[in-house]
Amino acid sequence: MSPQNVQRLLEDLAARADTHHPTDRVAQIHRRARRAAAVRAGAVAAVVAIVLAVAVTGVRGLLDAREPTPSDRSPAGTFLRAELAEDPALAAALPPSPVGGTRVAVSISVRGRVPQLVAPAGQPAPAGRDNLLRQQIDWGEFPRPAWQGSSGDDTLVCGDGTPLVPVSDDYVVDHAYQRPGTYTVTFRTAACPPLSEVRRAITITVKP
Amino acid sequence: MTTTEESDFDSYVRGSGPRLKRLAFLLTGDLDTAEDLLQSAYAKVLPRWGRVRRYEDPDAYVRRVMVSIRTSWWRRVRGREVVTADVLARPAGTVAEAWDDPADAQGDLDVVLRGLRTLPRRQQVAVVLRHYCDLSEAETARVMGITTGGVKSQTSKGLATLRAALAESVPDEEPTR
Repeated sequence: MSPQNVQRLLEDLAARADTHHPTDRVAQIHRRARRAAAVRAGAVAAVVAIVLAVAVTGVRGLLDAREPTPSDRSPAGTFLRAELAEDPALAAALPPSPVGGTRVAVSISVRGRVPQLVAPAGQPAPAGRDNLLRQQIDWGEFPRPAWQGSSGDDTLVCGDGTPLVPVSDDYVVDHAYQRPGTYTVTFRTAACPPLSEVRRAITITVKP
Repeated sequence: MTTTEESDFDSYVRGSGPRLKRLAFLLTGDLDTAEDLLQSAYAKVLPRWGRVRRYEDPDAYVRRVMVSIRTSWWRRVRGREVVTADVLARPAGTVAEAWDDPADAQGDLDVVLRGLRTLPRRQQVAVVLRHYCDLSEAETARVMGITTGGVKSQTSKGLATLRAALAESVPDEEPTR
């Protein structure tokens, strides 16, 4: 398969996109941008609230209030913390799922100070969340966990004495439940030793 | 953003939408997800449009945003994505001969689509940027945030996988004439 053949195949394949015409793309984009701006404004408000809380209670009081659980905390200043919360407002704003069912949205927040992973020779050192070994979620629909999400970059490995790097990641994932019921949604992430896996779970009720 | 800039952005979306949608489709392998990716990218570009519109090639910036968003989705949903279209059964014949028959050509495209979907993230992006967008190794490296050596390696591995997928779809016996 020559480069010309590859290009021809890709061009022909890409042309399939021409058969798909969304309704009012421009209006949708403006709506998305406004929603993103609102989320950013909310984040700024949260930061202001934290700053005010620090001013009122002092740094120590705030840290006490958000003290990681023992499983989150390891020696040498490392930590890894995860929080998740259902976001019904966002779920309501999402378009109907193409596969049907009831859509739910869960916001995930990961914070940490973790040992940096080691990249293969010649590759750039990973930054931020790329230093996590995995970020996966189980929607609790089956007797055994069905983990979905990133299992990390296989080419990155733990090293000895690597520097600690900050990790800060916030995002939202969504899912469509096909049946009403009560589900335990579990999120897991992990980093190199001395840290280990951190799990957080919430219960979501899907009404008929 | 001024009204003029907003109107200019809307015109840009209408003009660039079809070509960038094709790229989004190659990056996602699915038309609905492609539209989602495209709109997400435009929505990110919109607040910066006053600056981006002055670039020589605004598409390059949007492309970079698309790759970045797609990479971030990958991290979040890898393992959740499933191939929903089965590859069509192909009659005997070589890939070159298949181009003579539109049905066979569609079968090959199905194989390529499936191959693209199953490629690791970096390989898929490298192949699409190098061989569809026709970017140089240096340009591809800039968009992907990796070295040119990494681009060469990822492209080579990705093409090898696609070749293998196409070869597998063609039976070993002599073509029927």
